[in-house]
Amino acid sequence: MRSTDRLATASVPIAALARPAAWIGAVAVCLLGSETVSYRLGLVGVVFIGAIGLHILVNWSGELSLGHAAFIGLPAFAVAQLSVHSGASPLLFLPVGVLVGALLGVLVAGVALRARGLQVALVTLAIGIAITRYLWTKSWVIGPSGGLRVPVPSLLGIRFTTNRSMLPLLAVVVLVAALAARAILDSKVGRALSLVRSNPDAAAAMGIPVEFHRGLVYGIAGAFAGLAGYAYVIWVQQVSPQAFPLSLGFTYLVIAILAGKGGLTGVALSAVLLKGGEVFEIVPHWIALYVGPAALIFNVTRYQEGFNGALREMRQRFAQRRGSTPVTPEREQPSTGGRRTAVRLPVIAGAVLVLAGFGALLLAWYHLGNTDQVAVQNQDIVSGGLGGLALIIVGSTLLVRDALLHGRALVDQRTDATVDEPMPQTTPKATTRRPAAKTKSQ
Amino acid sequence: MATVVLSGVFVGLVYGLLAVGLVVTYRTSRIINFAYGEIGMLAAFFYFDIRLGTNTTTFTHDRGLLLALPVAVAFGALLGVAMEWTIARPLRDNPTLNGMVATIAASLLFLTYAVRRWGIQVRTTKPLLEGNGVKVAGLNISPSQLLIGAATLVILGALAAVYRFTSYGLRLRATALNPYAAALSGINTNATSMVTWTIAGALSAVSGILIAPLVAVNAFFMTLLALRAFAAALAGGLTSIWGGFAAGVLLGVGEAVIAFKSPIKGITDVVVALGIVALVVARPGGLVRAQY
Repeated sequence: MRSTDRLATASVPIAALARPAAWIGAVAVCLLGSETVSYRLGLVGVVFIGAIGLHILVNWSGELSLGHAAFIGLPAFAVAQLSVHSGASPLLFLPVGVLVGALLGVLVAGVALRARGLQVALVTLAIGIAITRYLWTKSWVIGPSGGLRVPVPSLLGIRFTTNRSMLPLLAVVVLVAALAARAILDSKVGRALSLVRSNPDAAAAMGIPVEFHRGLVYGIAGAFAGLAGYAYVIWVQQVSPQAFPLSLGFTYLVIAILAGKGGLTGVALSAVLLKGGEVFEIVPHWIALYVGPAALIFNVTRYQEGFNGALREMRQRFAQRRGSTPVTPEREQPSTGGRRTAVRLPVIAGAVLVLAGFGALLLAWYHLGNTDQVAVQNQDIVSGGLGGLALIIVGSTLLVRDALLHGRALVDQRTDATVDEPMPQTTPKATTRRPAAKTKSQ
Repeated sequence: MATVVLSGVFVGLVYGLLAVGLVVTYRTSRIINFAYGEIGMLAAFFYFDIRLGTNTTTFTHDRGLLLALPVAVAFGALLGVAMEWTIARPLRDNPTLNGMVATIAASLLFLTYAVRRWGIQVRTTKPLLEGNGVKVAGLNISPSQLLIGAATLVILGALAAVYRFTSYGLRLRATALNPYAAALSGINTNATSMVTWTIAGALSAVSGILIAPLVAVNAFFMTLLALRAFAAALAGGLTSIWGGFAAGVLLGVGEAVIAFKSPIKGITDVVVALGIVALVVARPGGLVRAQY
């Protein structure tokens, strides 16, 4: 009788779940921060969304846009003006932001596509200047001189009065942007853009409409910039022209080019390091102002691969050290969805309970910190504290029991395997002297 | 109106000078140098530091032109060399759009340094030469403007002479036309590239110093002027020196007239920007064909 049959298992796609779990965990950790920390994290998220569009434009298509500040600012003003004039929550105007951004992108494309080579940069710079020097002074665009304040964001009756409460919502917006970008890059469009960049003539020979794709990518970059503008409005809730100077476009360009060709991980790393370093003041501000452009010059002239290239190299080195085959160099590693591991049910249950217990403890601790009434604090200690502890004990018990049972099952397995082992057959030639060796069977 | 046109002419001369520097750079390295204005700005600031002292609120002494000018121009040339060595040379065989982004990054570095060292407020300047100026046909021409005119004439004349009549100029033109063939012919393309960028840096320094007494000088004053120079260089197809120069002069006059006639603030920037857009849409090759 095999005791391994008794242990039920469920197949769990651990690798595919790892990324969403990490995401939820990161947002949960961020919720523990203070209001200031949340605000700054949100700013980093907004910059990440804007950088995605520029990343696709610059690194995947080889185009250039020096006027990204206008791409983000104009949709932001559109969303803010609509929200102020209609009195509705700005959260509802996401399509407006994306649409205005995409239209602006297509408009710029119409001009930039006529430019030969390096004139593209000057044209985008010119459009950026025209917008920032003209439209940013018109009050029908920018509102009153103190800046445009939008109504408090609310969704389905829930009002978000603090940035901390809105952080999960912004995380969802960032996630949507990342998933959309991933979908675009993994699709036919992404492959076409890559080919159009490296060899437009070959692309045209294969039947890819080159001009259409070049226009499309400006529209995509504009759409992401519009989304970033919308995110800026719902996060900062006040829009003024000083928030979108022309130099902002250069900052985004630095972030996008430092990301390098590849997927979104490099963009995230770049945005976190550069914008996060700026808002969290990890290094003195003036050092950051020098380091960014200097790193860019180094990347453009020597390294040329950006953060994505560095990550690829790290992954290859890691994979080689482990002995597995190296990953494909050109694309980011394909998602590992579909690979499932068999995990025993008690392990799942135990892990979930332990995590829930820690979650309850953290919530209790957070609430305790928020109130100074002893009665409420006592409630929190009992429900969250003791309850969380109980969950942890039960979960740990399940895990320990499972480990003991699994250990016993392993021992049974090995005994069975040894018992069932086929006997080594001795050949006729060698057995003249030792007939007693045969008696090991049964 | 006539005075407006006249001052526009002299400002246009400086635009033309800047455009010539841009064109010369582009012909050699196929990169638009977005840090061109900032080189001139730093050189101008150093010039004023050396000449007037670092106390920006009062003039304590004036050390005169002869010490400050060569040092500042040499500094501009040095910046040009530095940019050639770090940016243009590694990207010489593969000048992509990212090469221009590197020059943008360099301009950010220069601007950061300038803002940290001198702040963003407008700085007091002094004309290069004192005097009353001359009166021509009923119009007053100030010494600064005279100096601009004279300097432009001398510099461009010298440059044209070097390019056309000397063997070194021939080598510079050959490198600009086809660096690979020039290298095969035994021309030291590293040296000619460096010399070109040195000349460009010095041109930018001279332009900045010449125009500083006429405009409000803060850390960003050359950035906006360089934009006009980009437009003028574009009109010359980025490769024609005389086309760029002429376009610069015309742009200066046109800009002065528009600013005089229109009450809208910032209109000139918009007009220049739209002009760039229109030029690229209608005539991407520029209005003038280049002669090598």
